[in-house]
Amino acid sequence: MRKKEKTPFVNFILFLMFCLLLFLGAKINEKKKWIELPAISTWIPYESWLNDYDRSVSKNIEYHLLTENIYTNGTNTCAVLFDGIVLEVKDDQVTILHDNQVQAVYGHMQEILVKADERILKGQKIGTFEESLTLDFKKDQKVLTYEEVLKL
Amino acid sequence: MRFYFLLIWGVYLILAFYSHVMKTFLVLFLLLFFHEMAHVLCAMLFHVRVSEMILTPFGFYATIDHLDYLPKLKKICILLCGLFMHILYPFVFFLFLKMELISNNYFDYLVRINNSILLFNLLPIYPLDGARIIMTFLELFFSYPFARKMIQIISIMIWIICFYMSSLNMKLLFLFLGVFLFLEIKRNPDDLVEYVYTQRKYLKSLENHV
Repeated sequence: MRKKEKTPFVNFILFLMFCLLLFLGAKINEKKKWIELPAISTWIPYESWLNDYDRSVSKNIEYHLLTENIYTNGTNTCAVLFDGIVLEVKDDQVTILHDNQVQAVYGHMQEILVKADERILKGQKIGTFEESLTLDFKKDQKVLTYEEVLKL
Repeated sequence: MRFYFLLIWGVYLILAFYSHVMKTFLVLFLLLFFHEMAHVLCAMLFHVRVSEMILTPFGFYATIDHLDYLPKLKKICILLCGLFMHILYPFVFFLFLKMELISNNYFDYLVRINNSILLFNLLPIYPLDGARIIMTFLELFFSYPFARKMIQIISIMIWIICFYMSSLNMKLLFLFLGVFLFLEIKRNPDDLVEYVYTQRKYLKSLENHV
């Protein structure tokens, strides 16, 4: 008996259905947290060749606490603590999702040098501030301090 | 021309959406797409058939029929077309920067990625462009089967060194490349017989013409 061949159109529809299934599964998993999906931002190819060798000088970014969540770093440029993606750019604040899943809000900025959905690497300047800026960190709905974030 | 995409590409797409990296993912996709399209268009210009294009999460792979049998000048032109695109890309990024579509930081990032892809393609690991260019050069001095054997040995050595020294995300890429390299080494040796036969037939037709 001759085997019926699937038309390319059927293959395409099957592929779309598979993608839709994966998408719905990922969205449900986001709510229910059944499986920890890997953050693909840490796996972008061509970004670095050798084991962080070309990230060069350790780019020590240090912020000093002034009061509550207000920090300064001795300069007036704000540099990111880890690699990540810019989620949102509002009037004077930038929300970044770092590769270690920490969501950071860099606020009270004078000038913002990045746009939404851009990839940024550790130590890159994302804006300028006058005397101080605000830093707020969250991971898995839990608020973290600057010291806790550095230990991650 | 047939167009295939590996199922893992769909998984990669979903993960990219989940990780908020769709913009960077799309830029990478377009860089690699136009690189491969440059090869394809140049091949079509020389009336060389392109049988299939395969989309993988790490790039495109176009199968240009009988690429190894073409005259060396045409082969070099086809191979260099793709690499030439990487010289044009920074100008395109600069245009986007001037139109304020991207920031300075992102411009630097894209130029870095572009240089990285160019360097990667120049590696002498089959089936990357670098290996094919070196093989074409070797064919000037040695026979095709010998040149092919030499490039396979060079590819394996360079692959091992690169795999050992690379970071984790590049290791994944090299693993993927290793599969293609393995398939090439295992390729049917009758291809070589066909190559010699085709070359003899071509030379004989030249003699008859004269």
